[in-house]
Amino acid sequence: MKKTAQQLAGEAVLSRLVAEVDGASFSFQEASQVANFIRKTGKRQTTRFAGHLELGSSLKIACKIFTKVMHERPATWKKLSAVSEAARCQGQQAAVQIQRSYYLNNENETQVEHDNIVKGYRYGKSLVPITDEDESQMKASSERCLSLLGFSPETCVSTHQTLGSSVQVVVPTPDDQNAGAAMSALIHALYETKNVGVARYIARKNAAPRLVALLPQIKASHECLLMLHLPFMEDIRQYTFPSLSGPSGSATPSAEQLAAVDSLISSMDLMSADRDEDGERCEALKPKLTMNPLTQRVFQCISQRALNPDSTLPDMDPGLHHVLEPGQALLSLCSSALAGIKEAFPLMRVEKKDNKGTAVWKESSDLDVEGQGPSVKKPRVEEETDFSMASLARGEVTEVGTLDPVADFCRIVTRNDYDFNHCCRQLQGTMMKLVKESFGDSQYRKAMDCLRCLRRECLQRSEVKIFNDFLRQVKGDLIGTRYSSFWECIVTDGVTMVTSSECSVSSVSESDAKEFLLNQQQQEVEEGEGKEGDEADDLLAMM
Amino acid sequence: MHIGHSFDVSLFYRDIIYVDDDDATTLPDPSENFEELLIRVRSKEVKKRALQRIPLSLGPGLEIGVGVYCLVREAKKPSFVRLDQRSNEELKTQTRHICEDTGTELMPTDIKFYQPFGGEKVVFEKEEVTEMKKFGEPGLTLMGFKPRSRVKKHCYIKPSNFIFPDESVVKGSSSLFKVLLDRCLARDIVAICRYIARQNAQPFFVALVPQAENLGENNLQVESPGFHVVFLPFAEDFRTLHFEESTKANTEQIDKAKDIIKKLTFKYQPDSFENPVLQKHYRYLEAIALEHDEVEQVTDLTEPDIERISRRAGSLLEEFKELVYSDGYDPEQKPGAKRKAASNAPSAKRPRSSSEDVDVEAEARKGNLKKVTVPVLKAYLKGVGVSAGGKKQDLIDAVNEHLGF
Repeated sequence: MKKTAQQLAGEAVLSRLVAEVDGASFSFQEASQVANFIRKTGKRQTTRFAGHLELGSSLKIACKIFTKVMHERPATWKKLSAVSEAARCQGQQAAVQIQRSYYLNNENETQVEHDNIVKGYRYGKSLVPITDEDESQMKASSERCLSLLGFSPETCVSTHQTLGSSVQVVVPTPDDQNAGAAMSALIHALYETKNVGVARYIARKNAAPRLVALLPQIKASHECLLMLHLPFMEDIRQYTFPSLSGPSGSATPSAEQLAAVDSLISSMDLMSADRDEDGERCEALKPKLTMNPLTQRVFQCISQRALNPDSTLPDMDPGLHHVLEPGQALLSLCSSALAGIKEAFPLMRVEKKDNKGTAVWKESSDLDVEGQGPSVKKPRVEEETDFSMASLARGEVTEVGTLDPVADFCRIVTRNDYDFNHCCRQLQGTMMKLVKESFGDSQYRKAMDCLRCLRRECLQRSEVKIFNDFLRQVKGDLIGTRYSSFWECIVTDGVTMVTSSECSVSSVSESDAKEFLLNQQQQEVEEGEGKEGDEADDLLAMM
Repeated sequence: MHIGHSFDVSLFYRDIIYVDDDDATTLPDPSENFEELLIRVRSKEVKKRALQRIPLSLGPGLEIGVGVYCLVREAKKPSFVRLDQRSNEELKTQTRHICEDTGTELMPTDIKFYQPFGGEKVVFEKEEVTEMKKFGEPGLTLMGFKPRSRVKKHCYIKPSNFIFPDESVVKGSSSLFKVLLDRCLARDIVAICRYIARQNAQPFFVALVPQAENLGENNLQVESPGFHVVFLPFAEDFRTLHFEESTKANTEQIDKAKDIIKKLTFKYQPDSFENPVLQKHYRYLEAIALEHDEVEQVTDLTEPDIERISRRAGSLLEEFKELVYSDGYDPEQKPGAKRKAASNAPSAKRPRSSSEDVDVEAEARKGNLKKVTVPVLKAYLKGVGVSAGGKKQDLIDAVNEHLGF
């Protein structure tokens, strides 16, 4: 659609305006993308400590300490009482109060009043009661200070041994020329001799003393000392790990292995992975430019819920997803390197016995680009000697597990290596396991699915004896034990032996099948065929 | 039997020294120094436990298993238990959530969560709050590599962890891990990864900084082979600081400072310093428990040795002060006091909050009472004989009421 003369004139004015103020114009698309990433308003710069950096008894340099880097936690969730909200009382806050009360461990569970409660600490196995007076004596009293103990080479202080939750800076008190000169001299001297200061820092009166390291930082705009919190002897854990090289480790890596990893490193270089505004290659994932994904996600949910109170949680913003996964371009660059590594290193996933471990691996197999669909839920230990990563990524099923026994069973049944009996026995075993390990009747559904699947397969292959024998065995096992509720499930669903009408091989007549389902306890007699649907309907009609 | 050169540790001593199952480090040679052997026995108090055992994914379909360990953690005072004063019996705690408005006890299903937004409360269920935190399964995912110099000293938000390959998760992890470690060390490179520690934990970006094995004297492992997991800050964690212009030192001053530093250098090691607060707590506890009369005194090793400093660098410090401080400068003096002594003229402007300066009535007419300070409002109200107290808004209302607005 052609623009009218007025629209053109308007555009001209706007462009002139933008050009005059040295601005830039963006489309709504671009603007909304930028606006989508919210940023909290910056924090005020508060002085955490104003005092003197002392060395010995004579040298004092007036200084202030500010926080430079501190992890910003997402806003806390406040509790709301749904009861009060439902009552919709006017002007009420629907707040939730927490009440804590203390009871003796005797049968009456008598409540103990606050006045009779005293704190106790463990000393070996016994509990030592400590009164408030004792406790005030135990606390050390101290004055605020920042006092240097000496200097250490910078190699003695490593970032990975730092503690605390923030990094702070020490600057000379503003407007104090002398302090500035002294501090500057110290900073440059530390920088040139590659040393750091080690000091004792007490932030407020009666706070615990800490050991800090003062690192020189010199930039074009300012000079300051970075303050990192150092560990005490009690904070370090003396762990030793087995040596990776040497007699306990595996053999020396081959040239091929080294080359494979080298090529991966070269191809996944983040220093030139991003493109900046001019299209030039630049560093990706700079900490100062990476937003906290949790904060963004929470805000996205809040803003959507505020506008549409009845909506469900929105899907994650694709922009967010993009930040969290390695870039597509990067992945394509390194695909050959990855393939090389898979060739050079034999890797085998180990089957996890407990469910928690399974959950981890279940999802990770979904990451597999060339892998199977979600039906391959559990990777198994490979029985053949095929150690290549490609086949392992497929995750061959070699036995029936408890997670999705029906799918596993169907899978192994189609393979020719296993005979049908073996597969059935596996399924039967799994089914009984599900029944016995079920909490209440939570797994009964699955077990019923197993049973029906077994029946179906046996019928298809005319292996009716297997199924019928098994069902008889199940009846004998379950009735009278605490799993008889499962037997009742079977009866309810009407899964019975395969009759001769269904399959000519069977020696069981229809009446036998019906009688089989008669429970010794109390159930009414079912009528009808061994067909599940009718059975269920009849039974329901009788209830 | 004498201990000769052919002493074989594995015959007997390996069994009495507590060694972890998977820990087959070379034991120190005992024929050298018995003391070292004793140290090793005593130091293994904390059983090595992995925080998580998670996969490290190098790419689609390529994963190795690693265990995450915590090597440094702030040791806190042990937690206390509540006791009944009369019998010293341990007490049970019961926590209940009460609805403030109706006074009924709330079940977990009755509690919802909200955040204030635009003056309203935006409400979510507990499951939705948990759902919001889901970003993926626990694990480390490789994003790429960067030179080690890109991990700056000030990029710190949390104590670091340590990873070591875990064969129980993926067999064959050790060999790939070892080669990766070798190459990263050789090329001075760190791996940047996305780290999700547990289910529904927030994702962090971490730098995997390689560390080679370092056997100190007597073959005791001083540094373990593996990667340090250094947590990288997000954009929101950086605070913009405003730095004032300050004097730069000249070469002479810097040189003097360097001399001081040379005299007062020592090698910092965490082992040399105990936490004074913790130690005091434990000594007191012991004294009370064992009913000692006196408490064993604790020397606070964090206190600087003033005497030693004066002895070694006393004169140098004096010379330094000569160079950097102007005559008559007293660092203890507060800058405000200095200004008063320096200039007399501005001092008249100092008491800003005198009631004569501000015409409260005029401000009230204009509707600008918010600009007037609290002491001024109070003084005014006192002057007109109206008693008022409380917050500023209450004072403003009182003034308005008095003047008939």
